[in-house]
Amino acid sequence: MTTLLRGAGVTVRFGALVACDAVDIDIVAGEILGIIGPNGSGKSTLLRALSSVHPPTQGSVFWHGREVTGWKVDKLARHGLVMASQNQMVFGGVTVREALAIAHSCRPKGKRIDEALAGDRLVALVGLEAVLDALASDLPLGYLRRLGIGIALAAQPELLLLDEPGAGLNDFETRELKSLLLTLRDLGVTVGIVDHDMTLMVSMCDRVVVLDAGKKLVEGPPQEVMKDPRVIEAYLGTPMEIAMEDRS
Amino acid sequence: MDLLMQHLFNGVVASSVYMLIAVGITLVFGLTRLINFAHGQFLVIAVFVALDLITAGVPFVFAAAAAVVAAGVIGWLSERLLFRFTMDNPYNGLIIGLGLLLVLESAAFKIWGGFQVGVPAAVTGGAGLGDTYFAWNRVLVLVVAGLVTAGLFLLLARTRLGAQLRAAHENPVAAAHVGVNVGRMVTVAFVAGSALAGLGGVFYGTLQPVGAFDGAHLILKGFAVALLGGLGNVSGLAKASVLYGIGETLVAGYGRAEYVPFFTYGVIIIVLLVRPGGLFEKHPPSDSTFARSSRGVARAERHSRVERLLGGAAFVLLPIVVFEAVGTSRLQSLVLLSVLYAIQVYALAYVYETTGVLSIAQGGLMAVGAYSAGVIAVHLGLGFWWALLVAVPLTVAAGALLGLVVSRCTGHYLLLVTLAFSALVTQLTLTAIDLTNGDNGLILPEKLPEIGPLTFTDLRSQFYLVFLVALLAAFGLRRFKSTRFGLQLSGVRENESLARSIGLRVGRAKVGAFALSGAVSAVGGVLYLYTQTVIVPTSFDAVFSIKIVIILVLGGVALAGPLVASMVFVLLPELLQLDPVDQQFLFGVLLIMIILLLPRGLVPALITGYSALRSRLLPARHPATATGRPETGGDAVRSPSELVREEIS
Repeated sequence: MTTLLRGAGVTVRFGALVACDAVDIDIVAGEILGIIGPNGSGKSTLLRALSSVHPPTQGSVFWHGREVTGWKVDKLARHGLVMASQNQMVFGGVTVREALAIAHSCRPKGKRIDEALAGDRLVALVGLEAVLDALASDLPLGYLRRLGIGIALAAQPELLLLDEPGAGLNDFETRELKSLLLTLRDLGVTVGIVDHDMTLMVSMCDRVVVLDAGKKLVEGPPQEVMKDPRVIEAYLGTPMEIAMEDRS
Repeated sequence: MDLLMQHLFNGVVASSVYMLIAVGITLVFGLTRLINFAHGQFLVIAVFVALDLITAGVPFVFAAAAAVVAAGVIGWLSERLLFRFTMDNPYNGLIIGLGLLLVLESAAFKIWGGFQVGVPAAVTGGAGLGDTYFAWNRVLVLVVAGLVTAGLFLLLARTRLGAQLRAAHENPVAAAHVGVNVGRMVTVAFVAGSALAGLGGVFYGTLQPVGAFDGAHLILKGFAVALLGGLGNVSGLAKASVLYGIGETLVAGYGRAEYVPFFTYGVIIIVLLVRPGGLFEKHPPSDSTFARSSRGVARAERHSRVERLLGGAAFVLLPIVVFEAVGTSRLQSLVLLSVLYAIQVYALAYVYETTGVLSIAQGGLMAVGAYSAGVIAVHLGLGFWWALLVAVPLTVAAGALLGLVVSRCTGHYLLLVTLAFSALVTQLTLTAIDLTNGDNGLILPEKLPEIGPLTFTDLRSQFYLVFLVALLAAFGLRRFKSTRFGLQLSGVRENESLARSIGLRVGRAKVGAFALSGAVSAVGGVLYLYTQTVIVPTSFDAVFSIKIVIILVLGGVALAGPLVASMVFVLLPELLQLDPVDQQFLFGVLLIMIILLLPRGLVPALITGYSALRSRLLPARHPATATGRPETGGDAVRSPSELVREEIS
């Protein structure tokens, strides 16, 4: 078990607001790590801090044991840490085929290419064979999301961070997403994911980290974590509050 | 005698006028993300109007008021008739502004002539204090400009209208939801901004003379100030204009007047390089509007094979046909010139087609190439091959430098920084008289070399040589797009932040694109020098760069588009026997019309027209049904308006 990415005391402040408060987090090679928590608990902020999209105000990020805090996004990506954000969209004005070719061209020079994450096999992996010649901007949401992941994969990441890849997807598309991520894990791509869909997260993740109000509450296997009273409290409120609401 | 105090005073007075210009630019920019290039020309027109009225006996105050109203009306008309249609795409608005600038400049020249004029000062005399002389007129300018600006701040801060303006500035959508009429706020900003420019113009006219073609120069000054203060940031402006005004006066006072443009363009380029958000802004303004529409002019549509052939081979051979068909050597040399233009258009396309960055610096790059070749020929006696050897690396370096600045900024800043680069090079070639012979031009003592049995002394052989190079540039561009680097650049064009997030060094890619463009441009520039044999700084000025942009927009980026459009562009004025001012007027009108009516360019429009005609005549074979995916086949997707139109017909 090697730790790929380690966040130590990651703190992100927006003015007076502390969105992330001294969070320690490890992502281990080969796992699917889920980050969950109620709305506004700082999940996406943590992900953005880890991937340098919005570097942490305090604390450090280590990649393979080497401090990478404040590195540029593209440099981290060249070292194998790629984040795909749901609002990042894709290369819009070109066909799916061209978009993947563009993504392939952006990979770092001289990097060993995993055949499973290139060419036709990548297309098959993300299930885009049928729409290769469609304009990327014309794709329905499910395809669009998979193209977004395909573009990120073409960069040959060791660790793929996904920010709400399931948002707005229907049940069928969510199931497809899940099987794609599980396949990725089997191919050796580690995945860190933030999403609101608890069914998806619990059934797919090997381990979850629960955030509440910017602090790490608890972490562990999803089934256990979901039974933890602190987690139930964070999501639903204290028994007292629930009782109050029931009465009203 | 120490003139420092005098310079400082004059600088502060000048800065109050720049303040008026920059406030107008910032007002409009804040609401629309648009930089109106014609803004500077509003000043010029105000000067002429005021002078005419004062000459006719109208008192200064009324003449000034009329000039302010005139500028306001022009601003109002330009918003209602032109800019309103490009609100969703400020990039196109910028190009329309360029067109309007050309039109208004030539119109001003037609109406008022080419002389530089000033406005008689409202008050004469002044008071001396020590070594410093305070002219009453300058004091008046300072006081009135200060009061007007203060009034504007008050209006923005305290009144209901001001609150609405600020709301529309912060977030147009949210403002509209709470009942602010954003469209009207835009109009208000345009009219107010233009009226302020009118006032600034009258004052500027009392300080120094203004000519019909000074609009471009003035907008760059105003922009330099607006940029220093942080675009869209009204409060930073006061500090910025004082800094700029004093800086400029010191440069002119202790250096030479010719150095002032270097100061202006230098400020623009350095600020964008070092602090893109302005000197007084901690965070650069978010630029989400431009993230979506960094590529202003829409891409050419995909075409079938027949259409591509039509756009390719047939048109590619057209220059040869025309060259052989026209009888006179005068016309033949114009065809040659048009191909020289086309090479520059392809050079620009290496940047535009790949990264989506539209640059107005092609003249600047070409000038570096042509002048470096010319200088080593005249001063060192080195010939054509040496010229290539020197010009190409130099221009590549210049292109890389430009790319470096460009990679630091987006959208609106970008066009301006390229324009500033172009103007900087022109100014350099004008000022370095020892090397370039300034306005008198550089006459080439060398000839094109012989290659084996081939000589290039007559027009025909020169034409074919240049044409060959143009074709190489065109096919090279086509090949380049599918190379690894070409693909990376498409990534930059389509989604810069995504490309970055998967590991692309975006800045380096842009530098590379501009360097490549520089290489093509240099070869074209050297050929220009060796076929035209005389170069003057104005051959490569901002107007030339704008022409190249127009040709690119006009021709589209289809293989032969630039060639055909260049020919139309160079030959048409000659056939219509237009003088340069009429030509400029025509360019301006064309530019505006292309953006408003044919945003995809003329040649692609012709091709699209052809395919529309074909689908009318031939029974349609639906491409979507063949792929079995109607919801994703590009052709099957129709906009609601198209569907409605089909319903009606």
